[in-house]
Amino acid sequence: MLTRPFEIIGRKTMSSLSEAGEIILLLFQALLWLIRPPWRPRLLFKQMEFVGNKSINVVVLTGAFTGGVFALQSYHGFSLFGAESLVGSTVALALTRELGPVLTSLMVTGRAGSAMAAELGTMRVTEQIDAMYVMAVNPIQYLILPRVIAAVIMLPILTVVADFVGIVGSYIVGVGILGIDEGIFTAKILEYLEFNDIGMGLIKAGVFGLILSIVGCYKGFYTYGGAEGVGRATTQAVVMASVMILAADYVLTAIMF
Amino acid sequence: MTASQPIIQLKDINKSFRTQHVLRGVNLDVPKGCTTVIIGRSGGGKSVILKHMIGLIKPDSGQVIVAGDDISQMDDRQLNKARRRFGMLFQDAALFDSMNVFENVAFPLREHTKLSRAEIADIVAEKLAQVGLPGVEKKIPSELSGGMRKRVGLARAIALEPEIILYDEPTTGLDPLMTDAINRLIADTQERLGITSVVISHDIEGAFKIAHKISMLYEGKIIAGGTPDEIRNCDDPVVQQFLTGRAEGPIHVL
Repeated sequence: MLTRPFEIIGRKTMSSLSEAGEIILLLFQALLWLIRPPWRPRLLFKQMEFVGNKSINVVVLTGAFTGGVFALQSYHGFSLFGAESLVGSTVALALTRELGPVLTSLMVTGRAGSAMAAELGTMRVTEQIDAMYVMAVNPIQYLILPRVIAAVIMLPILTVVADFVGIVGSYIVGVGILGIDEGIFTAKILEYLEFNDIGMGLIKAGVFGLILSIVGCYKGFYTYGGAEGVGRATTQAVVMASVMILAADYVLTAIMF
Repeated sequence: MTASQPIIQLKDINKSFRTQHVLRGVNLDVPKGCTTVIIGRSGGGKSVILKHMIGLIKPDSGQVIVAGDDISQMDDRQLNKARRRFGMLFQDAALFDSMNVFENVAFPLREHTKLSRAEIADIVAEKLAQVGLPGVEKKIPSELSGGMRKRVGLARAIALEPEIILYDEPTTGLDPLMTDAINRLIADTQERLGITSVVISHDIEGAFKIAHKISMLYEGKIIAGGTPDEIRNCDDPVVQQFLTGRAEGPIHVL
């Protein structure tokens, strides 16, 4: 009786560890195909368009409103001690280091990571993945590798967009609405924002792209149990990838800054 | 007919999924150049047998011999090579729904041959005509009816002119006319190309029409096998109950 809670903790720990192992294994299986032909540039471009181009709208909106609201909030705080001139640089630093990569990745997880899980999950339960094996085409190479590579390439690019639009948003709110001097606003950004801040943020974005794509593909690839299974895989993919992105963000921040 | 050399041999196959012991020592010979039909109850493991033959599922114990080699022991590369002998028609056709009909049928050709675009287009048109669906290249799978999907699936399965075709319940869920058309297509394909066919079915009438050999799977074992006449005259009460389709008898239905 007394050991029951420990049993539960043990079982949960073991199952999450084995799941982590399976995800890493799948990633290695996919990456092995990088050095073996056939390469499939067309599938890669198709996925880059899906992950990248089609996420532009949501990323622009997220960036603009985040920058705007951040400017509004920090203005109220900073005006208490007359430091309104620092609004621009504060927003720029927060965006490039943290909010740009994290929010972009979370939005793309919701859009593309979920779609990867749903698409691969549907292919699994309707035997399309089996059909691929039967036709002697490796589905890990055909389906998973292009998605992972596309996400790793496109997430940093989307993050640049989010960073830029976010700073423009904060400029509009800070200078346009709140009346901060435009010269000081931009000068402080240029003074405090270093190339490193942007670069580290982009490395983070690449890692987050890897996480959201491999988790989405893993959940989809191992779907079981019909339409219900596809729904479960999609939900789990989004939840799991989001949590892993936030956890990885902490680790990467601790290492990099 | 059954006297010819077996091209696929299953030897004492056992397979469990979690706690369910699905196959309990299956022994089956598939003779070359003939149509073998495996009958048995739904959910009894017929598809599992079929998936063993092409290496989609590995047995817990036993051997799957295809043309002399045990495919259950092969690594991925050898298995891919062995799979080129096969074409498979899945239960719901398993057409790639991100591709149109042309791309589906062309998929194995693009992957495994160096044919030019024009040559591939010719072969696709020819295969679609063979299954009675000329000119549907531009349609996408979701626009097709169940019977059409199966026929496109068959066109894809025969695109590379395999030696062996596996059919997973080709007539399930089709109306009687389409069932007959598909059965005729299976028989035609077998005769014209002289290939080996393995058909999973619980459609008894169709099985007797197309089969050279019928085997019955019951409770994880092959309990009877032979020519359609031998099966029809088999005095095993289980086989007789299944053939006549009665709910009472040695098989507990409910």
